[in-house]
Amino acid sequence: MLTVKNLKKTYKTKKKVVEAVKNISFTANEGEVFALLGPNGAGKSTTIKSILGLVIPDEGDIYVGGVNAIKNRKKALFMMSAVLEGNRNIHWRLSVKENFQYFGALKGLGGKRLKERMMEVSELLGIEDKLNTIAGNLSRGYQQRLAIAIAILPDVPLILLDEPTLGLDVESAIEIRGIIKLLSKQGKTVLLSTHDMNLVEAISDRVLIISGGKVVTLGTTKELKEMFKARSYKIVFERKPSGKIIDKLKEMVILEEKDNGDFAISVNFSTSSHTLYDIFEVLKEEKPQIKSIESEDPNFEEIFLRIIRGEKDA
Amino acid sequence: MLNLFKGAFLRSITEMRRYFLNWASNIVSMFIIYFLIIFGFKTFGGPSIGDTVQAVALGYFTWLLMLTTMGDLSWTIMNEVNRGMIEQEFLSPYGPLAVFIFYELSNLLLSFPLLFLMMILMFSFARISIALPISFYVVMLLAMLQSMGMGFILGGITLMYKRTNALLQLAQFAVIGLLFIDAHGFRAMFIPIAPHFAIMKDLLAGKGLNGVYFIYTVIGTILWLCLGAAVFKFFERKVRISGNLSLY
Repeated sequence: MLTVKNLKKTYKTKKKVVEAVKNISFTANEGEVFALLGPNGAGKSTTIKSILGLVIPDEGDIYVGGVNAIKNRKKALFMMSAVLEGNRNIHWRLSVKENFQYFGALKGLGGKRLKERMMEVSELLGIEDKLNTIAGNLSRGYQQRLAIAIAILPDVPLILLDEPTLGLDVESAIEIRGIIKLLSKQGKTVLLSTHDMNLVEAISDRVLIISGGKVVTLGTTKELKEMFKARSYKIVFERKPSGKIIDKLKEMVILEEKDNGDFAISVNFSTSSHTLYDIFEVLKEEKPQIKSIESEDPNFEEIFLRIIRGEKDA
Repeated sequence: MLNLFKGAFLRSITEMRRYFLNWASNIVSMFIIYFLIIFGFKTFGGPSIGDTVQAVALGYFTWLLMLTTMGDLSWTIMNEVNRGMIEQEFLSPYGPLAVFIFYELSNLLLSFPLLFLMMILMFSFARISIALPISFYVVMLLAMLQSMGMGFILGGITLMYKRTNALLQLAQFAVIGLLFIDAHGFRAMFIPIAPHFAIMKDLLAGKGLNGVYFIYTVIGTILWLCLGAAVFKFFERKVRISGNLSLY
């Protein structure tokens, strides 16, 4: 559905030259939720804006549904829509219905078709009873729903969402998550750029991590988790070992004391130069009773941070 | 395209209805200034001021029309950037130029009845009959179209540089300067507004329409409209290269 090939973009000002995107390539398939992750300044927004034609890239090709989006932007824009970061998607002084009418018209929708789609998407997004409310008077969660509703109004196959849960409360964020999943079930390709790792972990089919304008890694959340699995262990003790042992362990690993009286040490072999055997060597001196040894599954947020810090190759 | 126009028109009418007081108070303030100017001329101008009053009345009304059509796009763009809607307008497959042309045309169409009413009141106060030849109104329409072309030049600059308030104010006064040029003939074709105003003044004075001058004025109008569209397109591309579309 979406193919980005060797995308490059440099911003030039009088004072400096910033290479925002150095060489990014990826393909998002039909019906896929494809997450674009990266720290601030990684090049996510430039990549999204280049796909939408809001930024003209220096080099590279972008294909939307087989159409070259750089050479034939008009045709490509009939196949995609976007919710951009922040409140940049709705007219605050128009009602929900008037927003649908205006933004629908921008995409060429009108008459009976517009009315039909307006009812469909407002029901889907749960805003059918807000049609006459002025957008500025809606809660942040409902404004975001409206923005997504406007984006899906023209029934396009590709939807780009830049930080769709930013500033939302937990409940609204979970609802937005459900909506995105639903869109993907309907066969829409969703390109998602976010800092919300829970959202990525919950709904993304594949994740592309970029940093410094370059691709760092690409895979499913499962694959990325697998990459770090079994490299972290937690050893839980029956009783707290002696101070002498603790002092030695402190130099090697992370220690943590639990509320239930257990004492545990976490060993992450991707950040530590020590092995499990080194730990046992220290413990052998007093032989404290071990309650359990578990391999720890790091959450997606930790994985993201480790990848960005370059630990994948460690 | 028709749906795009309908959408733009609906937005204009809704905004005008919802913020009528603000819109109407702008018009009324322009009206008050006009009456003060004409009153001053009549009171202190002496008995031979008759023709000048009529020229001032026509000049003021023409200037008002120019302001309505020329500056509106730039203010719209500044507002859209502030509201954060400009990117969505750039995502229309029809392009921002078409979106803004339709929006400006809608605003103009909606302003028309009130502008016409103002014209009747202003002209009657200056003792100008509105029973003028049809060519007078055609030239007036051409003047509005040409100032729309100038508006697209200013709009393009605003798209790129955003805060152009000072430039817009300067342009308002530049238009007054243009109205003082006695522009007839081939070269006048390249000067905005001046040839239109010159023909309207001639028609007001009872002189007939010079067909050649009229054709030059039509060509001049088309030239400025095309120039406006080209400059807007140039800045539209430039702003997409620089990536500062939404930055204010």
